[in-house]
Amino acid sequence: MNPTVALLLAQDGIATGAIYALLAMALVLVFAVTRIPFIPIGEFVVYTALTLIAIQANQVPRTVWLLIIVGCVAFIADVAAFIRERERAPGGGTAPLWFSAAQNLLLPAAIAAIAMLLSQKPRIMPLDMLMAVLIVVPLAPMIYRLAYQPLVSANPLVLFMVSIAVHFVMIGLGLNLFGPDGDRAEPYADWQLELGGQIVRGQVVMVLAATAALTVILYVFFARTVPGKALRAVAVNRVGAQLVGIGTAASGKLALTLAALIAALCGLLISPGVTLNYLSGELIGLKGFVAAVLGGFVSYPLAVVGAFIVSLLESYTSFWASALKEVIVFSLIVPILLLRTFLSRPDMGEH
Amino acid sequence: MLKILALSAAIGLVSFGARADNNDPVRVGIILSATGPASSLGVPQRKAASLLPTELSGHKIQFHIEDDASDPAQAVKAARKLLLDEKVDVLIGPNTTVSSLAVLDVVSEAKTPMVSFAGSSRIVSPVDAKRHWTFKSVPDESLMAETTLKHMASNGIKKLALIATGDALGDTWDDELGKLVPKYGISLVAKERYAATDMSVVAQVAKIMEAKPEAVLIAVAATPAALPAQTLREQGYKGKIYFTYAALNPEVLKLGGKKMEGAIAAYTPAMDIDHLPPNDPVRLLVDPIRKRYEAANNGQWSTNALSIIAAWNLVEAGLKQTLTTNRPGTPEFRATLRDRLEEQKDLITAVGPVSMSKTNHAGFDQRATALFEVTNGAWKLITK
Repeated sequence: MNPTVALLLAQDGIATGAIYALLAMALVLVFAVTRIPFIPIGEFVVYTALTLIAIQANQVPRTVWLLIIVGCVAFIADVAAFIRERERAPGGGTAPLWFSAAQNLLLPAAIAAIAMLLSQKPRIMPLDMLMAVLIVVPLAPMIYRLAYQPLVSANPLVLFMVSIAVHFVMIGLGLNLFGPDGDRAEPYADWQLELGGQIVRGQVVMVLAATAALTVILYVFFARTVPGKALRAVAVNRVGAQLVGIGTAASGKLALTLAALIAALCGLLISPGVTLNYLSGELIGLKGFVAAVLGGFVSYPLAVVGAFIVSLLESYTSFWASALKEVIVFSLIVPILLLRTFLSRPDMGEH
Repeated sequence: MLKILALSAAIGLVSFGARADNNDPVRVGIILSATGPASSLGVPQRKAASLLPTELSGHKIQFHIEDDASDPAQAVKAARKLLLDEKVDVLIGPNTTVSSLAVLDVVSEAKTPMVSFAGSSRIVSPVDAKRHWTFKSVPDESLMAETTLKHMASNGIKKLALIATGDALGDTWDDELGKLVPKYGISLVAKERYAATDMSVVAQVAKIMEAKPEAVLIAVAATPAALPAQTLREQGYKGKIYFTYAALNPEVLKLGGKKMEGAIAAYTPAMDIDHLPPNDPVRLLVDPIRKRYEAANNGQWSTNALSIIAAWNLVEAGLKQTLTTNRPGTPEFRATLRDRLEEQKDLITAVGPVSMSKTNHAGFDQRATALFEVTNGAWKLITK
């Protein structure tokens, strides 16, 4: 291996690592706040990318209909819960219902209307990207409402099983929504730079810039804003947070929405560089998951380090022994996990 | 009341008459992947299946179409249903290698001929007790590999690299190339693998470029095949790129864009039927079916339909001969049909001429091969 190749592999590893790092951070965020190992994160990546591809092909993406249907189901669930609550303890306003209607009925309808209005217009790439994010991300709080909210105090193992179920449901729906074929979005950064004799693709630069920007934004959000601080409070102590008026459901929805937003951005970032089909999310999500596990599912910086370990390992083993790539990557993870288990007390349960 | 009785009697007579007229319909079972990951193959093939004739030599043909959801376990279930419950006279399919291999036991147990339209040579060779009843309407990889290597050799290529996915397709091509390259004076300088879902193949491509090959063969099925081609060109690779017929679909061309220009692949001449001479027997056979297919599907034609049409061509020829001597629905009919299928010589199918024998249940030769090159964003026939 000469230095040029070594640098090339490093560049490739770092570009993928940035994506894994974002996903790992999103997973740590969801787990810290809700104790949910959010397996379906990879599906949000793929849904966004494939929705963007459909928009770029001047179609109304079929995820719009999914959004409307899931929204209706979530609203019905809210109404049923509201009636049950009323019977138990009469009184109180109808404000929660109006809020639910706005979030689950009005918002999807508005998004669908815009998507249809714009489908035949000339394409403006940033607008298409925004549209794809707008269509996919609102699914996250609805999924939280339907799959996770009824199990809010269940232990992580139950939440893990629910996550696997959601993951398979989303894969199955993905096949029906997008079909079996893979596709790629139009490139958003079709330029290259030369850096010390090394050609760096524009997309790599954009991925790194976006990752850095997002990390800073997340930091500011958690350190400086009220919702961010509330999420941190829930992560530290859920019961305590509830006592001071931070709702578990609201914080869970917010955490999942943030994670879906991060995943959606990952989807936009990788969509021109790699062919994605409805199944692609599984492996992407798994790598992010492994990175989060390396970080013990509690530490953001360690998760990021884990992400780069995974991706650089992948890149270099692809070069040395491509047929054994996954074997090597995952078997090196076993000793690291064992080491972590010996060094730290089990931390997956309740605080 | 009387009226109703009379009416029902009349209906009974009519239906009895109809039944008597078409005594002993031929029952044909079809298994294909209409859903699941291989549905890009199965969907057009299902459309083609609906265009197959429903009558032959005065006998009604009943088609029983089953979807295996691209899953070998489902294929076995479907085969059991068709062979043991429906008692079909012949089975066409499955359309994928894994499913075809999975149903071999059921087929030999039911003593019913099967014509698979999947690729791998392992479905029909060696012709042992298990594969006694099995035929195939798609040429072997080795035939296509040989055509591809011949083209390389005649273009002075000495160093070849392979990039493949870590699956059955990659393994098969790896094996075939390993066996065939010495014959053409070519050396395999690099062999790299990746997973169809990988986000990047930069590392594998870097390894290949270190070996400085004059040609790279990409043995990858469907849309994931575009990624290595694109990465090779991005990394400044200037040599020839070859594909296998598993990548010959329009989506790959769309994804690869300009970076696919000049790429070469071997498949049957019927791939690019408009460039065959008007009196070519394959063209004469495929053209009418293609017209009907296009009429039924908004003018769209899919070359994936060729393999199932070829399977039907073979079955039809066998049935025509068997119907003159045996009654369909009997074990003797199925046994005779199998023997007739094995005796077919120089039969023209949609994929090319076929000559079966006791040891060869695919029966294709060089006449079923042609080379295609990507010119202006489409696969064009280059030599014969």
